[in-house]
Amino acid sequence: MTEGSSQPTKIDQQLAGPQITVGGQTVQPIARLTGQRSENTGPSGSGGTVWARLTPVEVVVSGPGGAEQHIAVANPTAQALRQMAFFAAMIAVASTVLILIARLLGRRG
Amino acid sequence: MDENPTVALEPIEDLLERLNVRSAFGEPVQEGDTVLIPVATVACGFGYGSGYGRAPGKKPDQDKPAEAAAPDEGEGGGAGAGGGGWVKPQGYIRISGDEVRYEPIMNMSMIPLAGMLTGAWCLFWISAAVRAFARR
Repeated sequence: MTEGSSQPTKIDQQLAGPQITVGGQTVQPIARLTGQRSENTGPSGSGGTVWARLTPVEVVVSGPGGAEQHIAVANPTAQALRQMAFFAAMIAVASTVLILIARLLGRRG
Repeated sequence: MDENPTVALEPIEDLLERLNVRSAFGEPVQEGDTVLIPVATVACGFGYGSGYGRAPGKKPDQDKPAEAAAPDEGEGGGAGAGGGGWVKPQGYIRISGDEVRYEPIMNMSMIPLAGMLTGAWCLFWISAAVRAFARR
């Protein structure tokens, strides 16, 4: 058994799935695998962790004429939540700046 | 007992191998002239650990042969593992005739909840700013 703690290894791969042919259309899904894995071994024990996330990215559609079309597969819920979080953070920052300005003006006045 | 217990890594390797594109894009479903391919985000995690310990043993008696030396006073070991994961539906690919379209699915329980929390958060900060100016 090899000893020592290994640095966490990042996982980041673009994966292409099998082509699906429906009618004259050929659809190939593309996804991205991200994550991290780490393993530690020592004289009295060993352990490890791995986590992974598979996110759909797009589908590549090939028509009968050979034309290729990329259709992005977005997550609208995640986008909406990100926008709300950004908006909330901006409001907090702007309000903090206004509160500091009010305190400075209060001291001068 | 094995002093250096090894944990089988096959489940981790197997888990990573199973996370292929087919996990995010499901089996196509035929609905009349339309084919639907479900789309989801998949995440999972796994952890394991094992250990072994031995109490300080007695030194072998010099008068006795090594085989008859007193055994270690105590030893023990253990191992454990745990994991979890989730799948969040995100939408579906609709293939009908010559048209291929992605139809996203909004999480209608999460969006209003997040909206209410954002609204309360903004109200708190705006009222704090207004109070700061009103005190002047």
